[in-house]
Order: sequence, then structure tokens, then C-alpha cells
Amino acid sequence: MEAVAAIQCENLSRVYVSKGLLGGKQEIHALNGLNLTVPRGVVFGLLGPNGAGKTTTVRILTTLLTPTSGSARVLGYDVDKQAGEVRKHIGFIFGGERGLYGRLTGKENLRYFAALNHMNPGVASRRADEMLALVGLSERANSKVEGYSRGMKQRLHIARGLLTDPEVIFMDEPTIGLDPMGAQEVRGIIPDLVRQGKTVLLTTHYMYEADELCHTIAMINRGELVALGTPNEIKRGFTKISIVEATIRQIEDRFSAEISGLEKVRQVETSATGPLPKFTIHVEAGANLNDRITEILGSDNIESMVTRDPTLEEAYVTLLR
Amino acid sequence: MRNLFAQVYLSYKGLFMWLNVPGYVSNAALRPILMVVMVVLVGRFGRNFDSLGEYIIGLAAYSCAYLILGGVMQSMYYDRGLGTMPLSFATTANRVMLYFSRGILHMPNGIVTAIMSILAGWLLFDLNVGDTNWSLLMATILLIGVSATTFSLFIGTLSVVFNEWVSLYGFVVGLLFLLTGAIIPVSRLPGLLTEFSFLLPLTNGLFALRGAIEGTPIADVWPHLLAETGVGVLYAIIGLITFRVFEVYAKRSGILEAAV
Repeated sequence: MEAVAAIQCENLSRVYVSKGLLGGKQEIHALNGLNLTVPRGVVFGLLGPNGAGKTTTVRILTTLLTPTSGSARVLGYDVDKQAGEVRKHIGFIFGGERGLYGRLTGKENLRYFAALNHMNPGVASRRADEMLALVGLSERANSKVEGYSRGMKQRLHIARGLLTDPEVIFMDEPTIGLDPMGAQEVRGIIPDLVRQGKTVLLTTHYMYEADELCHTIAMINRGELVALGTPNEIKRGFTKISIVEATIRQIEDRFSAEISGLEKVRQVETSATGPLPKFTIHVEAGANLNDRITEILGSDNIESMVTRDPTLEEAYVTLLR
Repeated sequence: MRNLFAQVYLSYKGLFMWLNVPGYVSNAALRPILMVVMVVLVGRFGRNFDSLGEYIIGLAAYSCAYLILGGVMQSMYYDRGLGTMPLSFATTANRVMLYFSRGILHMPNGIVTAIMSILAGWLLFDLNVGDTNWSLLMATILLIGVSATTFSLFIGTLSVVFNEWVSLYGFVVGLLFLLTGAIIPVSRLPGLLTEFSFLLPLTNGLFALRGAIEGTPIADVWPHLLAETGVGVLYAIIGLITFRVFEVYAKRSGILEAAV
């Protein structure tokens, strides 16, 4: 028998309706027939620009929002009709400073949400201590949250989201507002969760984060799926480009225009590596333009030239441009 | 049970913005005393009226509702504003407990205020408490506290629905001041307003409260106590239904989206 998927969305649509002062209606289609299947025990990345529908998807899956049409299931439970069952099995972490009681301490916040989730008080207290230790907040556990930095509040969100030891965890931009070390610590938690058999749905704007953590990535734009696959599949299969990076000694105005004019060149970007100018040239996959580029830049002028697969960020930009 | 207590206590502490010593003393003790002083002195000056016990009792009940209403409305409104309400909705929390936990600890504040008002009347204006039926007095204050709390939870839910509490609060405390018999006897209200006044908390309880000060036995005022209880239960039911309907509406409309 096939195992029930952790998350399944079928033709999921969500329309927001706003009314103007004169009664006119405006419809915003946040999701347009999204289809997704997330197997158990993986980190699944949901990527897309602002307004793509990522947060709407997460809100629907966490039972905070009803879909306009289509269906969504978490561990086989319908998020609309069996919301109570879904809530027993999920945790969610939303980015930002809201969603916490500033007048309570970090530990009191966790105790409160533990009480809402019917956790045994003894278990809740022990689990709260463990989660605070996990996110590095043990020393500030008894300080009021209103005195926390943004990063500390974000860590407390993570502790709250993991408090009930959920099977499926939704992380909506969990590292937003964290300093690099804090973000790295959070990223370090996620593989451990998967090793425990949990499923993580992660939304992020940080492509390196998705590349590092996710087994599978779905890119959505305007409420529709535009790419689905492993990070490498997305980079290679969906973008159909390769990247030529050429670091040169002297730059001339004509270089950029001449390279852009070459057949099968999609895009040319100029930057600098230390004191040296660098061209990043997006070339259609399979095309070998190294000789032509060397000719334009001058072989004596080239410090180094390499051809590589696009990064996830470059793939993202190409796909969503 | 411990979880219920945790919900009640932590939501109260987390959402009640003037829960600090200066805020509490000024709102729960000094303000009702000042209100008694102000109204009694204005009454004496304006009407040369020395028997102001009725005003004092009316103000005691009104102050009780005033304080509970402000605390509950503020707490419920900030629960939405802080973005914590949607997170509560996404838990398996019992909705009845979730709803009533927002009001329970505000009730003692109102009771303290009512007692402070009567104390001020006795100490400053010679309110006659010699004949008082103390057990009836305490029971009635408690009952008024309960009905004011269920009423406040209902109005607090409306403040969440309309995402506004200050103007709604001003309107409702005005209604309570004018229509419950706290100052103006309900028999002097025009037409339908008299009937309407009995659907508000305090109105029925005030008859019992004044009776308690005059030493009336409980047998003479129990219909008023029963009516006050009925009003409290009515607002408990209407408020809970409104809260549940709002939760469903919020999920459908997405109006809490921006709050998370």
C-alpha cells in the first residue's frame, strides 16, 4: 500500500476579494490551481517572488485560510473539513516579530501555546526547556519577549513551532532577521528534524538556503507552479543555460555589447572579483562560445575563464524573469 | 485544569497592557473614587440633593462594568493586533475555553472597583451601610461582575471583528452610563429604551444592589438576580457564537492574514 503523502494539493486556488468604497469588487488570484505532492521525511522548498502565493499556500495548509477551490491534505487529512486533525500533527513557524506576547517571558509564551495544544504541563515545561536550549535562548528564557532582539524573537518562533513535536513543520522564511550565525544554527536544526522522520515545508528568499537544505523545490509564480525538481534538476533541467565566468584585467566599453550580440547568449552581467572586472555570461545549454568570447576579450586580457552550471539563484531569476 | 489556568493567567498577563502597579491602582482604585467624588459633588451642587446613596451604588456597578469592559476589549483587540489570535486559531485549543479565558481574570478587577466605590461613598459621603445585607451585597457584586464580563467578551469580539476598540468602547460605556439606571432611573427613560435597558448588564443587578444596601432580604430581590443571571448567560451565548462565526469568517475572508 502506498504511504500517504505528507502534503498534497490538488488544483488549489485562492482568490482574495476586496471591496472598494463605492462597492466595486477587486479579485486577487493568489493561487491558481496549484498541484503539489510532498512525500514524508523530506525538506520541500517552496520558492517564488513576493506575491507568488507561497504564504497563502502555507496559510491554507496550516488551516488558517480556506481555499476558494481545490483541495489540500496534510497526512491525508483535509485541511478544511478535518482541520482539527491537521492541527494535531503540524507545527508552523512564520517569519517576523509578530505572533508573540511581548509582556510574557519566552518560556511563558511556550507554556501558553503548550496549554492551547493540551500538552501535559510537566511535559510542556520539559519540552519548553529543550526547545529554548535548541534555539539558544535558555539564558533569556525568563526575560520578557518585548526586550528580545528580532533574531531572538525569530528563534522563539522556531521553539514555539517545534514545541508539540509535530510530524509536519511549515517554516515560512524562518531565518529572516537572523544574523549569519543564527541563520546557520537554524539551518542546522532542519536536517536533524528530517532525520527524526519529520517533513519540513520551507519557504525562503535565500536561494543558497534552499539549495543547501531542500530535497525538492517547487518554484511558483502568480499562484502557479513553474518548476519542480531537486535543486540540481532545477539548475540544469529547467533553465537550459550554462554560465561562463570570465575574469579579465582591463575592461573596455565594447565588450558587453559584443558578447551580448553573440548568438545563443541570453544575458551578460558585469561585476568585479576584487580589483578585477568579471563577466557572467548566460549561454544556452550545449552552446560552446568560449572561443568567441576569448576573441572579444583578448586571450592576454583574460585572467581566468570557467564554465559552470547555473546557481539556484540564477536558475530562479531565469525562470521567473 | 492546569492548562485552563495557564491559558487564563498567561493570556491575561500577556494582553492586559496596564497590568502594572501604577496602571492598576489608578484604574481600579483611584478612578472609581474620583468618579464617585465628582458625581456626588456635581449632584449636590446642581440639585442640593443630600441623599446620594443611589448614585454611589449606581456608580459602583457602572465602574465595575467600565473596568471589565475596557480590560477585556483591549485584550481581545490586541490579540488580533499582535498577530497571536490567528496562531491560537491554528491550535487544537478548546474554543469555549479560549473565549472565556480572555475574560475571567478581568472580573476580579471589576469587583475590586465596585467595592472601592462603595468604600469611597461610605468614607467620604456617609453612605449609610448600617442596614446592609452583606451577603446579598457581595453576591450581587459578583453577579454583576459575571454579567459584565460576558457582556464585555461579546463587545470585545465585536472589537476584533471591526478591528477597532476605542470608539466602540466609548459608545458602549456611554450606553451603560445612561441606560442601566446607574444615574438615571430606568423608569424615567423614554419609551422602548426602558425595555432595552433590561437587556443590558447591571440594570437588573442594580435593583438588587440597592436593595442589599437598604437591608432587603434576598427573597425580595431574587427576580432581579435571576434576570441579571439571564442577561449574563444571554451575552455568554451570543458572544461565543459571534466568536466562532468570526473564526470561520476570518478563515474564509483572510482578514487575519495581515495580522500574522
